[in-house]
Amino acid sequence: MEKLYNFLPAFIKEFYNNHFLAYPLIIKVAYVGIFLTFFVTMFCYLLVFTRRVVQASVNKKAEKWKAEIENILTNSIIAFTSEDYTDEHIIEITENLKKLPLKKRLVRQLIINELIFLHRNFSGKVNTLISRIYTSLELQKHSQKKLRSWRWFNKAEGIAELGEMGIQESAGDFLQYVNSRNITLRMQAQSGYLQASQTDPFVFLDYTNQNLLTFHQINLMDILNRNKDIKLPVFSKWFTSANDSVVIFCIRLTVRFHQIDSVKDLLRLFNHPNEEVRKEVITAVGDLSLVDLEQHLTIHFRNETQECRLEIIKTTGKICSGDSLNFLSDLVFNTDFSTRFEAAKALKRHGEMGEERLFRLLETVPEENKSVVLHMLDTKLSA
Amino acid sequence: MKKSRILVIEDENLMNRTIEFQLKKDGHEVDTALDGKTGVAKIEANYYDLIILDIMLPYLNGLEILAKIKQNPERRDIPVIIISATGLEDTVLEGFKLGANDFITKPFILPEFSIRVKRLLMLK
Repeated sequence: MEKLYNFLPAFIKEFYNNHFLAYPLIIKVAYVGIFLTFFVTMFCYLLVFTRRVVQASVNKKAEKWKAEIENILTNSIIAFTSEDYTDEHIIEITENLKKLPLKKRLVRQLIINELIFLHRNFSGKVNTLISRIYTSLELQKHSQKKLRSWRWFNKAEGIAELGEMGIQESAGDFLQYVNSRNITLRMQAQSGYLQASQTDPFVFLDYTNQNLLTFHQINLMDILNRNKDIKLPVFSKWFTSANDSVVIFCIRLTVRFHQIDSVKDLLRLFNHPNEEVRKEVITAVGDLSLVDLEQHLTIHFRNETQECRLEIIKTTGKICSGDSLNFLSDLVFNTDFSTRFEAAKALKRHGEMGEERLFRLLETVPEENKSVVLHMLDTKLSA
Repeated sequence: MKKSRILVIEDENLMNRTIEFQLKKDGHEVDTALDGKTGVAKIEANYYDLIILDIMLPYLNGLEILAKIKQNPERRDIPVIIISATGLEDTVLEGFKLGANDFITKPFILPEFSIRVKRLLMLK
């Protein structure tokens, strides 16, 4: 304390001895409070200012390096689009990129970002060329290092990079995160595995015990749409999974990839205890236009929940075989509004034969149900 | 032979440059814009033989620009290729309804892109 006192300027010492010590306690406390607040505020301002200056300098440097990297990459890519690239070409591009200070983390990250951008946006030879440049520069080591970080977003970034570049040797490392409590990391691990594993890209579904959110499913579907080379298994394999969200996702995949051979397994799911799963099966029957299963749906109707019942009605409207006209006509008399509305809508989707049935129903349905039928027959709606 | 003038409106700099390089390599004269507003200003000030449009753009999106081109009697005949990361059916249909001549979904193959450009210019 004495040492600190010696360091103070003379005017502060004078103020301390002649004024501060003479003040009452409350004033002393107030003074200390004011001083502390002042210094903490100044420190915060200084911190923000320094960080902004540093960030601006980093951004400036990044812009410069980015332009240089873009130049090398665009020239290299265009040079090889119309001809087959050889190992010599890869070496040439790699050597050009190695002229950049790769030891700097910023430069390495910028190269990775640009390579990933190109990899996502171009297919064909350019796509494989980019992956080869990435591994030739040994950038996968940089991405793998991120997996060991304690920060979840670094891990997610590393997985995204390795997944996009299809680094198979890292795929196994992603599995430990497929059940992470962090939703983003979990999603990244699932999509990363799907992209990186070349032998069995859907194996992560065996390990997933967390809910596969709709957003995750959209993300996985998007990857499947973009990467036509991903090996597709028979998705009915996961119809018996203990994780219902995995079952639902696999039903959707069965529909998306028209795996008609899985119909028998799909049938078994009609008795699944989860209403959401059964609803998805009903939707699948409609999307796959499985006419043979239409009668099966109408038989199940009575034992189903309201949600599934409505889905069955919609599905008969999608299949439009004409076999369910009587079933739908009866439902127009139902006391529940949604049921009779969906039934009338499904009849309307049957085209001429459905409309004819709706006209006939106009004469028989009670007054309160007529509005639904008239609504469906309104020509302004179909126009 | 007169070089064809092509305008590329794409907000991602690397993408923009790659397309520009490819088109220049194919022997075209290329002008670029990184946002919708600049793109529209360039279309109004110059005449192009072909316009390549991204869907997601700052200020004005690709479909809005396309609508503007087709409303302009002096520019409506310029063929337009839409490039998009989304291959969503609705977006594709909306693009064609508005008068787009071709639709390319990312990721795409550069040589195929060159051929599509060449084909549209020949048809013109």
